[in-house]
Amino acid sequence: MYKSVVANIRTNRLLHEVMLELTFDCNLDCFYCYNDKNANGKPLSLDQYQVLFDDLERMQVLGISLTGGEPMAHPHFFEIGKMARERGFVVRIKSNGHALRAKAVDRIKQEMDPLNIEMSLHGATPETHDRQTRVKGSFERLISNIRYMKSIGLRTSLITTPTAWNWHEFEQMIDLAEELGVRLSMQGPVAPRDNGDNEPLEIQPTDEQWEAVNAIARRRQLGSRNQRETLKAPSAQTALNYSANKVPKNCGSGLDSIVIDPFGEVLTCLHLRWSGGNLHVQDIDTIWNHSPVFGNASDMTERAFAQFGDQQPSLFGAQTFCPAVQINSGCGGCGGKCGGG
Amino acid sequence: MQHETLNISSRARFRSVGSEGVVVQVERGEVMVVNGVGLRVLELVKESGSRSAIIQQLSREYATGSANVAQQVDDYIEELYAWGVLEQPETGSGE
Repeated sequence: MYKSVVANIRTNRLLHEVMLELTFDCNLDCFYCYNDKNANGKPLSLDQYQVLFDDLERMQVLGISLTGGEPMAHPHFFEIGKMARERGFVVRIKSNGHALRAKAVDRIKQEMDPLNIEMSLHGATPETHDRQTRVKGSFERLISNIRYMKSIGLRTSLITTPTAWNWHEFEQMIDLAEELGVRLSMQGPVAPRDNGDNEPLEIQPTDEQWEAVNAIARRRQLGSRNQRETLKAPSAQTALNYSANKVPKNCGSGLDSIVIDPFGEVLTCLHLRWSGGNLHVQDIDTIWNHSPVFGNASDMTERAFAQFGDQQPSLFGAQTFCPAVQINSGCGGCGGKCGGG
Repeated sequence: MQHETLNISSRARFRSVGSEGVVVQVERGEVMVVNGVGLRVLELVKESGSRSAIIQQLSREYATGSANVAQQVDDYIEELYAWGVLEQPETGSGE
């Protein structure tokens, strides 16, 4: 039945999910992080988040995801999460897991009651995981924190991006997730940074490495994140099955969700960072309903997906496809801000 | 069992999506889709929390007899309890 809702959402462009990049600060230093750590601007205030949530509640938005950088590095992380819960949003947290120690986790459970906390897994061993995070001890800390979260009944999940540094541990990562009792999904491919820096692509798996990863994923029935999400309107591959409902065949960009950066820029998605406006200047209702950017993003991604016909969309060997990553990798310039022109 | 005072669970969230409603039970991680009437009942529970007020309101809105509405509302309320979308209201501590 949820399929019919997704069709309704996308056909009528109903804003359903909002991802808040609370800060680009982070307590880890992941090699392939796509954030532009030099980005700056006037951060949204707590009062502005309150106005935003009031507007989004009125617009019947269901989900709020708190991400970053590391969202817990925001000085008002707990207040923002609590406000979201009080307004009836389904709250999800996307974290590296490093700061999710018992005291913080207890507070999150009490004040935010999140549907899920998603954390990044970079390897199955401390050597591999810590090599990517560039913080010694981050693997052991993550595993310990997950065990605690599980013990108090918090729903958690892990996400991994296959790289040239960790692909050989892919099956061990699946085993580890199973031992922890946590769902693991994968995303990818590695993307350029939002400032156009292509350095992360240095650890893109080779075609052969992707082939090995994909074979394991198929054998172990591991889904990509978008296939496994329970709330986010399914995108990419799943969306391709909605043609009977006349739903645009694309990833949902511009149709059902937005990203808001720490400085109030309202963006079409994490990687396709086309701005529809800024919350310092306009309210979210005006931006979503009047900016042409979202329609342009939807049209562009629909064209991009059309190249695959009925084939499985893929990019760099990954069995997922992101038009923005394709654009950004080609020009290495502006992180999509140019509009791909 | 008939419940006169109704209360949305603190673990449940819902929103309208066009003419339908999406309900999420956070504790179970389950998503449910309800039709327009089901959504309206949830909105009325949130507004008034009174079973009889909900039945009266729906009878007016759908121009149908309250006995018929009452039976359907009661069945639906039982389902909502089973889904964990409704919970018993907290009782006062001054006994």
